[in-house]
Amino acid sequence: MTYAEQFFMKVSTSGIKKAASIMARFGFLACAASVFFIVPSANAVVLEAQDMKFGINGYLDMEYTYLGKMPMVMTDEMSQMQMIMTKNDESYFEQRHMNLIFGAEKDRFRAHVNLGTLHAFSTQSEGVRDFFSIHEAYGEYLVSDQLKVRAGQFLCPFGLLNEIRYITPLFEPVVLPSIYLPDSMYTGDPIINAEANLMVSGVLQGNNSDLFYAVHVGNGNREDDGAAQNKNKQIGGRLRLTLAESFNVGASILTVENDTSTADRKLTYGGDIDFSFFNDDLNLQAEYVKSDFKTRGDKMSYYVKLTYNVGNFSPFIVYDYFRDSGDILYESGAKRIGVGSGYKVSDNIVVKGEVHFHEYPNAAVSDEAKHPIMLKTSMIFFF
Amino acid sequence: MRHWKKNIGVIIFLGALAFAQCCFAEQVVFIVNLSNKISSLTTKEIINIYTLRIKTWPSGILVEAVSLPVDNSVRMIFSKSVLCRDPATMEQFYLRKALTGKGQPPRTFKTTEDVKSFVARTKGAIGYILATEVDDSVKVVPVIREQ
Repeated sequence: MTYAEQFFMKVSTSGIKKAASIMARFGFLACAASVFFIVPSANAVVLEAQDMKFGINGYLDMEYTYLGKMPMVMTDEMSQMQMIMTKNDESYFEQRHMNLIFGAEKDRFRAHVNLGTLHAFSTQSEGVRDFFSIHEAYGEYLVSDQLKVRAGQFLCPFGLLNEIRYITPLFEPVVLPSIYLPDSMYTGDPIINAEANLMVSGVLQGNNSDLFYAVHVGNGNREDDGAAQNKNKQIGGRLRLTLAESFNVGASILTVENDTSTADRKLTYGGDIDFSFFNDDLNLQAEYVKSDFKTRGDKMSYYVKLTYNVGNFSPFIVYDYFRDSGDILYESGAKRIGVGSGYKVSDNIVVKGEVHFHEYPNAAVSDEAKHPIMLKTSMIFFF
Repeated sequence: MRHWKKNIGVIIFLGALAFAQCCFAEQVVFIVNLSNKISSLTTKEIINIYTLRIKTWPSGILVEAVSLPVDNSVRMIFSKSVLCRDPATMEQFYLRKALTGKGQPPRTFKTTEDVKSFVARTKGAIGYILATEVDDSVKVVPVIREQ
């Protein structure tokens, strides 16, 4: 091999690694910039025939996260003992969701498919973490406004946000309340991540109020390979009373047998209010959820969020509390105050930014991890 | 002086005529298919139909709400006076509904003539046009305004 060949070989191998790293970090920014310049005026695709409607919508979001020194639970491999450690601070970009939503309506039938990625790309893990998957796919038959029957795989109505937990353009903060956290951002598991397979629902309309009801059943929790963990399945329901156009009160319940060997049922229940006033510019949302699980201990969480819409801005403040008696870190609870705002760049682009102040009163948490800060910014394109 | 008094009467008459014509011309009415037995609708019912909350008529027939493009002046009048939202805000509302799987937006036609034609041939259809454009092919539904 000549000197020149050796030189180019050396350059190319180290160059590929560097280039890959640079592309991983800056490719994200390039994508983000292109969204601003290429697609600000896109519209949903709607196809209409004489008796059928077909629509394609979608959304794509990118996030930047800074996490201060957070407490975390580690399990010692030898003794299997759990201990609370402190995680170093970190920051990363993430292309979190990229979803296409297909909707079709013909007569009384309706179909809905949400196809997308979750954590498609992250500079935290240097690569692809998840592939396209079907988040929801269901068909619905409308008997009347008072009775609809839905079958398939879907996020069931529970609380204010379970049904829209993946659809980031629809809520103001980047980070969902602890009740709904879609992944184990804070080592504890989410309280609700409920999917159902069969549901009847409807709205009973009165003169001054409407009552929404839903009863659903599902396969309950599953193993990683998709096998059902339980034989008695999951059953749940929700009631929501709309007293005025902008005042809603709701209650939800969900029960699922998690372990056939102990026959222990997890019962999750909660209540919520959603109140808008001053011409819908000021919105107050509050939720309380408790999950009882005899063999593991209960989980409880609540939050109060106040949002004010002023021009293209939607500033908010949220107070969030989470406690998990079966987790050595969260048995003493964790508080979080979040402050931030969304900004509507155009009809199809929203930018969000927020800071969260945590408090971990657990005595085993080191001082440097007792009050960690989390910064989140996100840009979402949707059509 | 007498001549001036005579003229002011004509001016007032012409002004009143123009005003009445303007108001009448801008009056939006709701039309349904001739076979639809509904005798009247409240503003709440119309809001519920155009916000996709009501999807069936009392007779059980499916509601097929139709609309006009965002920049159409008739839609502007309808949207602001009945839905209390401008058309652009309503488009965002429909987008949110579509994203959450709550339903597709109302079918949109380019002109009020197309709306009338669709309503005339579709059993459960409801649309809005100018009062001056009504003919025998469709039925006008009186709207009861609620406080």
